[in-house]
Amino acid sequence: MLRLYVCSMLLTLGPAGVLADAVPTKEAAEGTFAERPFSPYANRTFPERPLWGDTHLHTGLSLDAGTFGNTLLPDDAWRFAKGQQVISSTGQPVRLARPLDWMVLTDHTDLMGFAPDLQAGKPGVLAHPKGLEWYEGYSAGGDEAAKAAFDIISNFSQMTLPEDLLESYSPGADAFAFTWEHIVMAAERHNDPGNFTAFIGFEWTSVPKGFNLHRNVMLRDGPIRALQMVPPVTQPPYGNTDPKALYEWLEEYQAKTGGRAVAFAHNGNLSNGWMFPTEDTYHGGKVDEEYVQNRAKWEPHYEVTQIKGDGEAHPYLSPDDPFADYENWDVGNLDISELKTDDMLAGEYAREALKRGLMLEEKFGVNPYKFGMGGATDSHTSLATAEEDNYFGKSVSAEPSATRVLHPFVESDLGAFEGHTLVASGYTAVWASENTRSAIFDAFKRRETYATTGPRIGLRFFGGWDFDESDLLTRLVADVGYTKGVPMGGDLRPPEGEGAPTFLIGALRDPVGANLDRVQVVKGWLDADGALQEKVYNVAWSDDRALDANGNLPEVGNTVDLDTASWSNSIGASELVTVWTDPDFDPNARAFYYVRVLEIPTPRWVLYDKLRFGIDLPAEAQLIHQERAYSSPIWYTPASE
Amino acid sequence: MRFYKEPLFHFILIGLAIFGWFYLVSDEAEPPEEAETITIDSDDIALLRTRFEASWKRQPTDAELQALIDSWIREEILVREARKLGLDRGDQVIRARLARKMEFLTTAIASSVAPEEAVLEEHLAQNADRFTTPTLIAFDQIYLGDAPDPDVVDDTLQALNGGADWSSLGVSSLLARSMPLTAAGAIDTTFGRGFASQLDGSEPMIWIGPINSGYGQHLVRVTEAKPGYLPPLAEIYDSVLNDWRRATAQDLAQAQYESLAAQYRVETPESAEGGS
Repeated sequence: MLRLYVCSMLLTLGPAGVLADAVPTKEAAEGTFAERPFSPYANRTFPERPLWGDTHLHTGLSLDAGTFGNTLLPDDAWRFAKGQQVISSTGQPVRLARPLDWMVLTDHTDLMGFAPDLQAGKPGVLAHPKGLEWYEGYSAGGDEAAKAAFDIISNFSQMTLPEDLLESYSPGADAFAFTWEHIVMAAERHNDPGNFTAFIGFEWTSVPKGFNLHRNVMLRDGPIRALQMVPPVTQPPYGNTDPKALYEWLEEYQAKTGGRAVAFAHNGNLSNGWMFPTEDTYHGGKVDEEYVQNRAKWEPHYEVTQIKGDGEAHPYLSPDDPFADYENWDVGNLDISELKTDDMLAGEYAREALKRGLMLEEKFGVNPYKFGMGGATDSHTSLATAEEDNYFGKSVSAEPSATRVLHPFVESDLGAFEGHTLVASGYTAVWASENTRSAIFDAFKRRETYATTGPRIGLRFFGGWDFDESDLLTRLVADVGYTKGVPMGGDLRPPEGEGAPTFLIGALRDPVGANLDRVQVVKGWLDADGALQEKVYNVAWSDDRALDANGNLPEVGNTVDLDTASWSNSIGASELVTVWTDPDFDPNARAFYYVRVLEIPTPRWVLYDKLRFGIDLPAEAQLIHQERAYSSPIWYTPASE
Repeated sequence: MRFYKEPLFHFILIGLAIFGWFYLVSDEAEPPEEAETITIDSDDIALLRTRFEASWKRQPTDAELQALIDSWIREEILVREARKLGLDRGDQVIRARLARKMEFLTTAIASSVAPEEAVLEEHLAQNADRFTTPTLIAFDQIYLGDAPDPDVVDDTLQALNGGADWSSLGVSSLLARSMPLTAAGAIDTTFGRGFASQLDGSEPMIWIGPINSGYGQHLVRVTEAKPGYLPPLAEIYDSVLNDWRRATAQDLAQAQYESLAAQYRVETPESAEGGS
């Protein structure tokens, strides 16, 4: 507060020279002002705007993307993310409405680089009978190509790929090393500190028996460090699907190169309960001290929303939350070789994982599931699209066409993920003070990130012990927030006195998007009996609505016109700000708090397809939805006795 | 004759030379089929050895080499007979592979040529927008609301010109009141499309407005502006070279296709009917 006061004094009085006596010389003062005239942010170290990016994108170098017909390579993906127009693999010109500020390109490491060689019919691939068979299918196009691609992927997940093909595209092989170099150097060419950050990364594709345990990895570093190693794979004998193997690689990377790396998981909803274990791990290990420490050390982030479903909450786990039923993919595991049962859900969703983290922290003193939130596309088209009216789908087969809504994305004897259930989501916003690899990476480490399902909703969230209504009037929410509290991703400072924690929250709609319906705080805690609890509080909302006795809020309404795929900002609010105090605070209970912001209803991508292609949609296709943002949590830990 | 200096013309010449060379070589390597002779020379054997070594990391034994030669002969005979039967025609795999090989010829040329600096200078000049650094603007803004009364706009502007403290004016908002030096694209991401362009050319430290954003109307004063500039070639040589190669490979592939296509008369159902 003192700093603020001095700042505004200088602003108002400085030019008039009233303080001239207080500074060494008049010349010195003028010199200072000449360099940074009237700059109220001169001493600020906090960010003015969130930096928008995608943490998860595949190009034609990825085994599945390339075999399914993606011919765009990293250079195309980077140019697209920067806002340039490219021609998609299906020959359609495409461009982002607004460029991204940064991106992590995460091609699958297993058989990295095989797909382009298959597309080109390289002699090494054709020499192998299976390679020739796939090439024939790929070249024939249409259903034959799809069949070949599925055969490759199922051989991959069943670990029955031909040995010599595997050897030629695994660590130790030239082709593998050259593909890594290709990825690293493309990122380096497009990295433009200050304007656009291109992260070197990869996806470690652990999917034993179709249970999705994938992890993305992002490096803080450039080629000098990145090229000292090649990334790890999961196919034996070159790799292993156990996350321990990834942690070992990360450890070695940091020790050998002096660089820094983080890993983050996604799609717990397709892991059939194995993503956030509390007792046993899929690989036969125990959730023990080593496990919780590794997970806490290497995974400070989680990709909570993306094309294959939104993983914040599930109605079975959160029956009192009417908004938990959002774009959940809960049919089975990734290839639907095993159907989902209710008992699996608790090991899959972010809110439940955050709760489990409290319980494990009580047990081990370390919270393995203390992660920040992010959104990503996981698109396999090289095109990071997450906007409903400009959605290029999950894979080349789901690029805009009159039939894409009709084709299941995955289908087995047991069930299907239907094409119209693909989600046009999401992006990650980062509160970093500059657009560079180091600044953004460091923000990931301190979890100062939030997820959205695509819209660029602005979200500030601070926790402290003495925020009050007057802080909303300061016009400088960030100044107050950082001064009196901690930002999203942080730990509440030790309490001062008896009171409950207070939170300063501000949400701003996308400048070209829909108004906001409401802001909610989601609290999870470990009660005195050792049971995990959760509660969702409506804390700020638009229009003239009032909470009922149970804290529920009437719906905001709906302005979507299904005939034109338009809506109006005649309902909802442009901006919602509040200071909220936890009414149920128990100083002895471990807890976390995160913010969920809901937009007013808007059209889903399928409605644009319906109108642009003039097609009929399946009756069960969802036409409208409420897009949202999820902040990283702020944690409260009781003082130890 | 300007076109002699065009790189594209050079490439077409190089391309023609390569196609010609392949034509000659392939004629020599595949003797007329009437002769029905299969010749295996030392080059062929060297190739077989290399392939074996690439797979097995060692030289083949004599027996293994003989087996490779035998299977090569077998393949050669079957391929020749298959051709006689016309089995290669209409085979999508063979067609795709041949078409792909033709495309590789042109991309290989584009990626192997080291253009002269003058060529890159020209490419840089012609695509200046792609290489110009973004204009950076820093500004202060006062939000006046979604649709403020024009009187409010005027009054606020007058107050500012009269020296009022700007930080107490306007409607409270989460939008940053002061933006540090930021690229126009990033400003538009934060304030809505077209916001930055309304600040173009405005004089520093003078309040202007109303400026429209995605949220309503603002008064703005630019505090600092750094115009974008086109860096000299030396600073961005690699980016320009990469971009030139990408563009040239595309142009070349298209030019090659067009020059080849010009040698054909294409008949589609409509044109066949119309032409007769």
